[in-house]
Amino acid sequence: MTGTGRHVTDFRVETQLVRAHTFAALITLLVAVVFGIVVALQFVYPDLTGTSLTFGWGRLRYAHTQGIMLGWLGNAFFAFLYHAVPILTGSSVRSPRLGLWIFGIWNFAVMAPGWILVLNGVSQPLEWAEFPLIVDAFAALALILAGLQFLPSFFKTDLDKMYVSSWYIIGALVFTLLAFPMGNVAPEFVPGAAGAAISGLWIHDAVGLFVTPLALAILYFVIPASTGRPIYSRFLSMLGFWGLFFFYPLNGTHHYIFSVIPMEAQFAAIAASALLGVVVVIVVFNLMMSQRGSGVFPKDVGLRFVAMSVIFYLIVSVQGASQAQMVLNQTIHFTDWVVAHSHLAMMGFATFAGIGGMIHAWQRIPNARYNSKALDWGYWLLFIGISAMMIDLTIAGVIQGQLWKSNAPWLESIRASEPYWVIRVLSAVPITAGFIAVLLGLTTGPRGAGSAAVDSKLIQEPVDEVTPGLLSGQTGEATRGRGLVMAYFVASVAGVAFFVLSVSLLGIWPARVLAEQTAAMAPANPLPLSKSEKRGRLVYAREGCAYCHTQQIRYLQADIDRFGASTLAWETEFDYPHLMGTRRIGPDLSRASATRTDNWHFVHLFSPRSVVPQSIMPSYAALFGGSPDKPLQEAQDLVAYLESLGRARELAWPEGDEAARAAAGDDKWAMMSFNAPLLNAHPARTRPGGSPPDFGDAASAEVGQKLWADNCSGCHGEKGQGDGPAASWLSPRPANLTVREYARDRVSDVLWNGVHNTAMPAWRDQSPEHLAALVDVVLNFSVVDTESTPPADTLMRGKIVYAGNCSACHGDAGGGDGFAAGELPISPANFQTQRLDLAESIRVISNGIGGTSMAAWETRLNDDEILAVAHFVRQLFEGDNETPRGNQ
Amino acid sequence: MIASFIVISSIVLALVFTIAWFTQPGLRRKLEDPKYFFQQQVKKHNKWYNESRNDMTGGSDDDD
Repeated sequence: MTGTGRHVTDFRVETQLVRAHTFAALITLLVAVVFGIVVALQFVYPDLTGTSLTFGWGRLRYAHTQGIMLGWLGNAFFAFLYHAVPILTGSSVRSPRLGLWIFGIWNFAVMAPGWILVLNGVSQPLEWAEFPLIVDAFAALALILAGLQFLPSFFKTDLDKMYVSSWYIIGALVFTLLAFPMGNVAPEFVPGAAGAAISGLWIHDAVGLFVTPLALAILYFVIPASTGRPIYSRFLSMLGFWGLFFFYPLNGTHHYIFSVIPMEAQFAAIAASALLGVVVVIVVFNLMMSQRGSGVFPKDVGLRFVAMSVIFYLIVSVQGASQAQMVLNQTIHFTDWVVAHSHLAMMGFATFAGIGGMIHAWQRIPNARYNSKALDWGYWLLFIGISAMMIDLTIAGVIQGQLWKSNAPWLESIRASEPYWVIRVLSAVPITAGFIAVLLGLTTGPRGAGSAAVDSKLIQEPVDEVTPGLLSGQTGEATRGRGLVMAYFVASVAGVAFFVLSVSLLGIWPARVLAEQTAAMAPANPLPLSKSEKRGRLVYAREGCAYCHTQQIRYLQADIDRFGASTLAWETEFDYPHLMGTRRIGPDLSRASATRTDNWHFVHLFSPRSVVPQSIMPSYAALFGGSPDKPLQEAQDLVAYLESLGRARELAWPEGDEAARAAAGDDKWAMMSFNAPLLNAHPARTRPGGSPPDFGDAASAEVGQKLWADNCSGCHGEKGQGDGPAASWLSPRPANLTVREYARDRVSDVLWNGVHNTAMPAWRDQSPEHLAALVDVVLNFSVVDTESTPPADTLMRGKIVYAGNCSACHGDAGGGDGFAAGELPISPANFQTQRLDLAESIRVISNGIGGTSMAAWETRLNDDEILAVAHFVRQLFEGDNETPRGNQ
Repeated sequence: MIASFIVISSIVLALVFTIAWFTQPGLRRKLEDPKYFFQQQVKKHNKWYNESRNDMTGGSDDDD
């Protein structure tokens, strides 16, 4: 039905559209929440969705955020607008038929296909812009139609009747239309860091120009409408309005503090963030004063949701202003702190406002079902669940940030986060129950039961209790005609100027500076991505890899120490759109090139926990034909892309960097990158070998065993027999340590430098005492018979065979330094520092070692010769006493 | 420089608003009027709602 007033109103509330958008909001909300729960569960059970790419972490994460912003909040806001705009303006919206079109487009041309496409791999890797461009086109169309539907009512209203909610609605509808295409389209055409600057604008505009204004429109509407008293101060409300529309768009770059985006733009965003916090305090003061007398938990559940939204708004805004400041940002950025912040904004502030607005409208739909008890339950469940999640993730973020600033291995931050990720999953129980209760609250219960809230107002305040001057004809005339046009013109110019200012200062100007830096610092012909690498980049983007792995080493010592030289502008010049990322669940990948072997990548993608037992990365087995040694084209492309990350700088190093350094002049931030001790500081990067430091005293044996289980058992097996879950997929296979005897320095060398060109990484992120403990664990695995003494003639024969067949690679004295050794990708064994069990030695000589240059000799040597040479190489072992440190 | 511009321009804008508020009583009243208009609109709508409900339930409409 429509709300055609008989005597008292000359406007119509389209209650059918309120109902339709309310149901769509709650249904899309529940779907988006399920996506979010599965995403959260995958932190605890990474294999939850098996090998499905459709329900893989990245795609669900994309679907979750778009579902919350467009599906849930978008529909909730539309529902509220159909209730509020006629009341605010005194005139009906343009057309119910147009409303059906908007409803249909929003839900059946944006939400449904958006989700289907994203889950099937058609998406954009951009925060709050994950739906593909074709869907964005329909979203933009719906926004245009929404403008046509709602805005004319405002333009017919006298300026002195324009309540603050009206201004917020106008602002949201107009500026979302400007910001949405910019955030969704521009990064596709602006490369790397410059694209990220624009993307950052949209990240904040999505919240600041779409969600926040409409949520505040609800707060300013529901509070006075529910309490029956005007707001405390419209002056403050308008001060807040202009302040928010001025500062919000200027915040964008604070998502990339310490990045390569010009520091001037970063400082501007930091200052705007702090000032925004001040404005929000004014807004919240006004809203709280407007509620005075209603209590902290008002009886009217709609008002109660709104009152809590005000508190959440204060917390999230003060938090946002604080975390943009460099001193805090350097610790908490990329952590779960930010995830808590965004959930508090969208699920706390905006969601509570959205529900409050929907309940308020619902109470005023004649004959609508209304279950106040269910809504009561919904309120408390949501309050408990969202508060728990926020506190939990905020603490997790601080812990993660502290661990990242230390030299602790990356996986320690994963281990430390696990209890908090469990709590986050548990917090989903009251949150989901709360949303279901809200749905029940609006679909069950007696018809018209929501009227109690309205009745009390009718009794308390007669309609003709009017305020100074309003009905006496003293106002209104002055602002009609030319005055009204002029006022709207000035407001429009000011609003558009704010938006243009933000785009110019934080989008266009940084892009120019970055382009100049790129021109000055880039090598003459940086190697572009190959076709395969480009295809791999699409896979990386499609699967949401950038939502766990950043590609930006910040201008922070902690980042430089952990990952290497900070990312320069030119390093991102081929990134369309950028993949800089805003969250680090896994480590940064800017310098992934030449860090791991392709073989390791394939195994890691196929079965992450086989090579990294404590990894929480999802499996991408769907990119393989059943095993890691059967990578499909997409897996090969993805690994090719990973191997390209940081390659251009690596190739330019050090000569290119010297030229770039000269071009940088006195730019102290760029100098941080040039002065980095290592271009690639990845702790697992292998080196050909060298002098390991003296690890000193070892940690306890228990610590050593735990380290082994956590880091080594995936390849070498729990008992060091080279039979871990990943062993059969690796080439060469991991060493069976029970049949090998090593000199202590040899083990130290391998742990410090890895085994170059194999899957055996370096472990430089482990502390010296941990490495020493691991050395002990490795040495203790050995059960090699050290006492056997072969006959002299066997040794003599073995020496001859060795000299004729083995010394070219392994060296005359078995030091692994034959004249051909330097040409081999994997260094030949040094028999002075390792000795194999006799049987293993015979097996290796007979069969060779797959994945290395060690050939099978069984067709070229007879059994006696093989036995003889096996004995011979064993007696070359010098053990600890004779082994010089740094044998290479 | 941009940060200074933002800070200074926002201080100037806030000052202009505040000075205007304290020195222009007419502006003050004009600025506050819409909140009263809004209250009136809400009450109208509540009344319409009450009438509609009474129509549906067949009840009397005493408020009119």
